Amino acid sequence: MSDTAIEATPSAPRPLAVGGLGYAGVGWWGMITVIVTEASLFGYLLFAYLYDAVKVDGEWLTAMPSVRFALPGVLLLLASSLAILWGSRAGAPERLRAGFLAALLCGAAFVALQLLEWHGKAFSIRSDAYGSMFYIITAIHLAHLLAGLLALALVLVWSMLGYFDSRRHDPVIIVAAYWHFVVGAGAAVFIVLYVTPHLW
Amino acid sequence: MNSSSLSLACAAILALTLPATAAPPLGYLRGFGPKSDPVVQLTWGLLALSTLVVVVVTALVVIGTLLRRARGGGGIARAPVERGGSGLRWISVGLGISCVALLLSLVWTMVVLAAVNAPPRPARVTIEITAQQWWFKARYLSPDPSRVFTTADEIHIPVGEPVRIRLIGADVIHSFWVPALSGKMDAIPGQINETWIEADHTGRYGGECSEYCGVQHAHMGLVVVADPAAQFQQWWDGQLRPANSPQSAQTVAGERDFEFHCGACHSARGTAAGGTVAPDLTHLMSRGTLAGGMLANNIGNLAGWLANPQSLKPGTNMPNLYLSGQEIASVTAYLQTLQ
Amino acid sequence: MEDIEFERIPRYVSATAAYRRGLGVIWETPPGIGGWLSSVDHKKIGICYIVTAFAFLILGGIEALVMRLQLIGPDRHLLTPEQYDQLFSTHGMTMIFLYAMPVLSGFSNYLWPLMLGSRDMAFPRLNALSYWIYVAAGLFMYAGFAIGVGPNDGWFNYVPYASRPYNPGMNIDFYALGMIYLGISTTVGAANFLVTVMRTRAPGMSVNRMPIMVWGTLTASAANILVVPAVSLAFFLLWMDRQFGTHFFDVSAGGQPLLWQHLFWMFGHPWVYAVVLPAMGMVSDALPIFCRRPLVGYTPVALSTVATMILGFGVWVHHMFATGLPNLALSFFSGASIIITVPSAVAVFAWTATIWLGRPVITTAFLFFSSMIVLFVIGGVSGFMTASVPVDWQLTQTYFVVAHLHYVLIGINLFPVVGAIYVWFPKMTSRLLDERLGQWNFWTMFIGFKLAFLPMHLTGLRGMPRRIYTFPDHMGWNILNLVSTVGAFVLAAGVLLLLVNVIQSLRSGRLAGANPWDGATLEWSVPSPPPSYNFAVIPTVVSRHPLWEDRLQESADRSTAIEGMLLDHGRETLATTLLDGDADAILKMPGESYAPLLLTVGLSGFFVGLLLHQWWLAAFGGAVATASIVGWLWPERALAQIAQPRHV
Repeated sequence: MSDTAIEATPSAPRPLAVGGLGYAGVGWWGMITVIVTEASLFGYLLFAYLYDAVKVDGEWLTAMPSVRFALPGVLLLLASSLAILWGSRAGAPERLRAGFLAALLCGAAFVALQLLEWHGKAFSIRSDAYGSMFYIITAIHLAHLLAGLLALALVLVWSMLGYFDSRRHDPVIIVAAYWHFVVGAGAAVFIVLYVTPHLW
Repeated sequence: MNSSSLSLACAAILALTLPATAAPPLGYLRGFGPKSDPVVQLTWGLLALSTLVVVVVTALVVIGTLLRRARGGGGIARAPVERGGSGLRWISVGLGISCVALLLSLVWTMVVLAAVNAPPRPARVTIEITAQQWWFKARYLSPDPSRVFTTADEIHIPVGEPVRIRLIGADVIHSFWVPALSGKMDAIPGQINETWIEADHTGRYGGECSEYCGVQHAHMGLVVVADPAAQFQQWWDGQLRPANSPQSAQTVAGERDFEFHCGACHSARGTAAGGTVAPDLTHLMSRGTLAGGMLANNIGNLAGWLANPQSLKPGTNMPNLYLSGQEIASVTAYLQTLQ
Repeated sequence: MEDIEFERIPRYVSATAAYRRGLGVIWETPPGIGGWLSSVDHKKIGICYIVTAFAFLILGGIEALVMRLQLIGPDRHLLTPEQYDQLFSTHGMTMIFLYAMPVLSGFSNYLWPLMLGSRDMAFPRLNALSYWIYVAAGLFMYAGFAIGVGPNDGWFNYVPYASRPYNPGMNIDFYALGMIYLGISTTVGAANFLVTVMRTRAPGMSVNRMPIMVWGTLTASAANILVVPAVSLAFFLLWMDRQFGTHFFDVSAGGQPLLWQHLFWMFGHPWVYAVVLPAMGMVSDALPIFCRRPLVGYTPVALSTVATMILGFGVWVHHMFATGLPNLALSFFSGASIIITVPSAVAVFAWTATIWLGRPVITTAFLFFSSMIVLFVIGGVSGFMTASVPVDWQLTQTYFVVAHLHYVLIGINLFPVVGAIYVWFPKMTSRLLDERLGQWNFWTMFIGFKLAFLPMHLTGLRGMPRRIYTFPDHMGWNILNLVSTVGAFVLAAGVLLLLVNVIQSLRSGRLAGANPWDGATLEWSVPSPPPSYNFAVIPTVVSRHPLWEDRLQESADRSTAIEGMLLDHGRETLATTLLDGDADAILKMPGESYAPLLLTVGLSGFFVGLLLHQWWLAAFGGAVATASIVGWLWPERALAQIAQPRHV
């Protein structure tokens, strides 16, 4: 196709990376926008909780929320983040799979804890505004976490199919970023739902 | 490109065609008390400033276009592309002037806000107004429980005195607005908002719910009547009396029909009709309007309203009662006695 | 199988017919219905966006005309109160959510890659998705109206009136779920714009060389990313309250009605800026073409665009001045709302100076843009008046506000958009719109608009509340309303003339050539309509006005779209660095895909299932959507997303 071409020489021709660009790729930048928009969702959610809590006429909480399930849950989340950090070094597929699998298991354990906590609560989503807020915040977080688990599973599958090497591992860093966000959101939820009641 | 002259022409046509005499009942470009006067001045001030800005910018755009336009034919290429002056001075000068005007407006706004924040002296009358679909319930508060009473849609206030208004939202959000006396304050379920009004002239001032509140938002009026102090006291005393006892055979029958058909929702103090979800009718005939200010209070409208409220005010909470002609006549006659 | 390359020294060539043919084979969307349904070409999607938005504009306009007939005089009974309420709510929903933003997304989609010197948006498939969801959500929101249960609580839908006890029908459920659904479209669209501007500009297109319209859409997109979740959340919580007996807004169990207003306006006010900033950007880019000079004050205008939005996040409470907030809060938000006028003033003075320091050539587009300055100022000063708390206590919820918001939305959105159609229609279709009909079009719209909305200020000052289905005689509003109704019909006739002009010119308009207006930016360097690959070689940019460099003579360097990188190993475009726009990497671009359409079908099933409480349908739709996403994201060798196979 180049038979009629006049090759124009640029001042300094240099090789450019093609596709699979990691932190320079559009996928990574796209994930940043997803995280920003989802983080603002959690911001509004926690604002709504605090707004209703401050403005309520009477008692907001019927009882101090117990951290029996929530504290182990948030610790599991933090552990999962560490596992992802450890596992997402490029070019080490076994380590990648070990790290992501560990994170997946931590996340699944968090889901179990969340369901146990819901099961044991004395109030429901219909009891009062606090109940509604408590369940909706934890449920929205759980939904994000389930999406994260699906993404982790996909990375594991793709890794086993041999899709990644030291140059091609965009999904790894993108999913890792999302997972760290889910963990961060979980920590924020924990602080607002379980820690702030002790502060007022 | 002569939008300026066009705008001015539109304004002129409007000014000519509008009836110059009658002040609009809900207008607020004239104030009638210390709550509205500073706001009216500010409104005129900002209106004048805004109009000036519009005229100046319009003139700049129109004159600039006419003066500088590329003449002759030949399409876009008739004028060459040139950078010309940087023009940054336009922005800096324009911004400088704008900032001064904005700052002055801001200061004036703050001054007015402080001035109308609280009444100049403590209010001696407090009215608790409960806004609901689609009428205003007014309860006159007093430390003496025997002097507390409830009325609807028409409130009297003493002239020259600040009156405190406590606003309760009973169902959805409504807004209390008496343009000649005061701007809006919302009535919101779950919170009590306070505002105040004061009239320095006697007279009737129109008001209207001004937060969209459902199908009959258009017909949720309120009248504020400013009376001289003595007359106001007299009115209050009158409102405390129970309903008049019926005298004629027809009104006796009317009272019975009223209690039976209307008493679950309406009350007339001193009778068996003790409903609280609809306006208190003990002194219905002391009020100028019916149905949230929609109808003048006269015998014809009253009978028509009783016959078919849903056709007059579709969706109103007053159901069609399917009264017989005789019942309508007797209830209407009875209501006419509720002075 | 082609070798997987990690890096390549791109070939620098002069564009030739042979290269163009090759690129055409690579980039062309296949013909037929399948091509349209699976296309990811930003130009096709942009045109679809614009056409769909205009369809909604016409629907919303018809609704407005019916309302104006009801209000032509006192005590009219053309409509029942319920019909009127659904009409004004649907009109607001249509114009604000289904016309004003999408039409600008359409222009941005079409123009961005051409202006920025790229071959497509950063995420072509996401672009298709945002369009399909927009259509699906629009149909969803209109389905309720079509069966008589359209939204009936105004576009801002205050609780408790929107709550189930006061509003038991499905009206609000259609609106709530539709808004959540539409929010997905807005969000993915905004994310696409953000990444596009950050990653896929032509080399040399540093941030201080981007057209102002890019700044406008960029700012609006950043805002959307941050604020759309607020309204989606608000509608979701409302839907939960309505369907599952939760108490987020229910005051009897600790909820707060004002929470709705905060969440709604935290979104709503920035949104108002988001639907005008890109349009202001189009004026900033296109008005100078007709003034035959660069825009006065590029840097202040670009910065004021961003400043408007930053301040715009802090003024939402000025919609709530009458809700009983403390004076300190009132003063703060009043001050912020007055100060936000400053960046807008920058644009006004810049445009005015551009006219004075240029040689305006009066075309239809120029008329729309220059009249927009005046309409913008009127909408601006009336907004400034409502920023003053004590004055707002009178003005709010009257026809003064109705006048104000129509000056903003028609003046700063519709007028620039129609002007932009006159400018860029030739680029999209290769044919010019008729100028003589254009003059008629402009003056009819302008006079109709003025007749309809200028008197409304006075109607409001005379105390007419908004959202009343009828009004009594003797209020001093009769003549004003009559004039407004007449004006509304004249305005509608003006819009009709535009459509006539478009249809007629599509068939027999004069051929435009590549650059009929002698414009300065990159989109005018490509043929009309542009080829599927946009640019045969990646252009190189050295100034803000690549096509005017010979005449402006501001430096010895020249931009070029003739010589540059030839990226032709499949669909490719260039990634550049964030601020300076230096060549950074080669992006592999996806081809046609049905995944966006399939995902939309799945999501539609999901939302319809939620609406009707058909949980099986919601689950099935959700599963289809999830499967589409997984399929979509599955790494592809053609996109260089998969590692080199070990055994080659």
